[in-house]
Amino acid sequence: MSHPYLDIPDAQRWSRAMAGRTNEAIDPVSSPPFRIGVGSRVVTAGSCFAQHVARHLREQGHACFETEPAHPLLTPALAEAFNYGIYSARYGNIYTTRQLLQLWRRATGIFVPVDDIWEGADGWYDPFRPGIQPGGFSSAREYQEDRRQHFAAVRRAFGEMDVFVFTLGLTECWASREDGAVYPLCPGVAAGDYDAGRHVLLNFSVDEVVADLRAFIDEVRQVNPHMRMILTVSPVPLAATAEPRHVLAATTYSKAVLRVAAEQLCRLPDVYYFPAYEIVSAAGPGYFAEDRRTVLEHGVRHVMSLFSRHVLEVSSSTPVVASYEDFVQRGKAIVDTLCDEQRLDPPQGDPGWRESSDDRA
Amino acid sequence: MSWLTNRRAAMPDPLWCIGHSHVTCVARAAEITGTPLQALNFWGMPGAIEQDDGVSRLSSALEQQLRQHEGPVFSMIGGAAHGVLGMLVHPRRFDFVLPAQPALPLDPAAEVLPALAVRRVLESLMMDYLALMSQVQRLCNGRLFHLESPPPFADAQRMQADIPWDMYPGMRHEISPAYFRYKLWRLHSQIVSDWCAGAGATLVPCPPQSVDESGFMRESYYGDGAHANAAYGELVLEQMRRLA
Repeated sequence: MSHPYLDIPDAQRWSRAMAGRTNEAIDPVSSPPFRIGVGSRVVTAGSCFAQHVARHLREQGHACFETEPAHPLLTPALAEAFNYGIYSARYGNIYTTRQLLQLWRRATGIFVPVDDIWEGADGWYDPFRPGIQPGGFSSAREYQEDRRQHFAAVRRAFGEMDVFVFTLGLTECWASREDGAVYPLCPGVAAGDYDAGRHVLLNFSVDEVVADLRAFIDEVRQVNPHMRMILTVSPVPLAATAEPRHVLAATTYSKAVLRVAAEQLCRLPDVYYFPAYEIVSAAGPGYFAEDRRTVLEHGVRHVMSLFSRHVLEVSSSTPVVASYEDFVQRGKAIVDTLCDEQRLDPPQGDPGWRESSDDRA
Repeated sequence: MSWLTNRRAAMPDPLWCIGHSHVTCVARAAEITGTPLQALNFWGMPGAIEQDDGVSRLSSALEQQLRQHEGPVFSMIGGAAHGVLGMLVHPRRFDFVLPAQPALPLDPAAEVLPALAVRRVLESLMMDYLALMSQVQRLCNGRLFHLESPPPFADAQRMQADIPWDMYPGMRHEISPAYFRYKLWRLHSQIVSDWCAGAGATLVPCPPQSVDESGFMRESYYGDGAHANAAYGELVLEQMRRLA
């Protein structure tokens, strides 16, 4: 008797690939059509889980292609607070494919949302990056200048990247009823004001996710024809759903849609699906914290070790550390020199320093 | 000895001015005008500032002097952090939008950093000086006045000649644009003003006669690029006299 299952590889058989294996021994990764070479310009984006991807790439010497890096005067903690170095540019988390497409279209001037800026009690906010800096922008002009720079950084990142690692996060998002502009967070959550008459909940279908990402790929490849893409689906459940149903059911719908969409998209040339979602979810509660939502560090490490083994070429480079001190020390030296020169010409009979506190001038 | 007693009684108590290099212009002015001044200039006082577990603090002798002084104290502590950060063009040129005056010009060749981030960097450079000011505030019996740093001078060419570039080979020989320096000075003053408001001290703005219509230092008060001259010191001395 002969049949198609007779000679399949072990990886295709549950009893051999899954049953009895420890979480760490599960490896559902199939061979990628390409690998990330040393020196490749890698851009990362997506939901919260994408931050882990970016961080691990950096730790392994695959520095992300940063087009909006922190200024070296900023300490690492200050840079992080202002969302520098999290992703290639300061776009923050991109939860939906519509948000990704919108970012590209805004950066290239194809789309200009009606909702331009939100004025808060303590500052000005970018409706599409409401948490990008503490307290918002200090003036409308600062926001406008920052956005101009940011869009240039986005154009450069997407226009010059070799590999784009995008983590699909959500299907739910809030949009403007006026022009369809989508927000990363519902207005009113981090900034702005929610208005049921102006804002509407969207919950994308597979077709919509695929269409948005196809449009993104097509439009970026018009300026960057060699761009290759790695898709992942975030294993992190929804924090909350605006749909009137249980958050677990909403999560299941969302992950199913994103997973099917990724499957369809990876049939495109140079688009590869990396099964981060499967690696984490196969561990059951093993890779989640007690809140059943936060992926524990050892879960992230397992994902990234498989990513390294299958996708990355070995790197011998070390992360570049920005020098904060140099300029400040040299600036101090100049000013101190001028101060020293003042000391060379003190006023006569300078009554200055008195060792004895009793000796009042 | 009665003539000496009478003479002492007739002399006004000296004004007390404490701080770093900006004290010099006031001390010179006092000398020129014959104004009694106790100028405690840390730059001429080796050992006046000690390091205590990485934190700057006044020496015991200086503490004692301040405790025994009954009148007001005028502080010119620090006052150069904005120059350290921005007198020279940074290799990665930057600028920022001043929150209080957002319409001021930006350097077209510079990247724009968030004003709050620039403020945090500046605050880190001022931390030691603010700690010293806190210590002075705790020690002195009279009121504490902090004298604002002299305003920046607009003409970079004039400043260029005063910087000992030869001592710093390899540095970019370029003074930052005037408005960038002006904005850093304003931000510096804002930080000091916020500190004063919290500490119960009074910030004394720079003498209004010393600035032109754009807010830059008038040429007649120019010192060396980082400091003002004795003529500026006279204006400050007059402010001190009125407040004492």
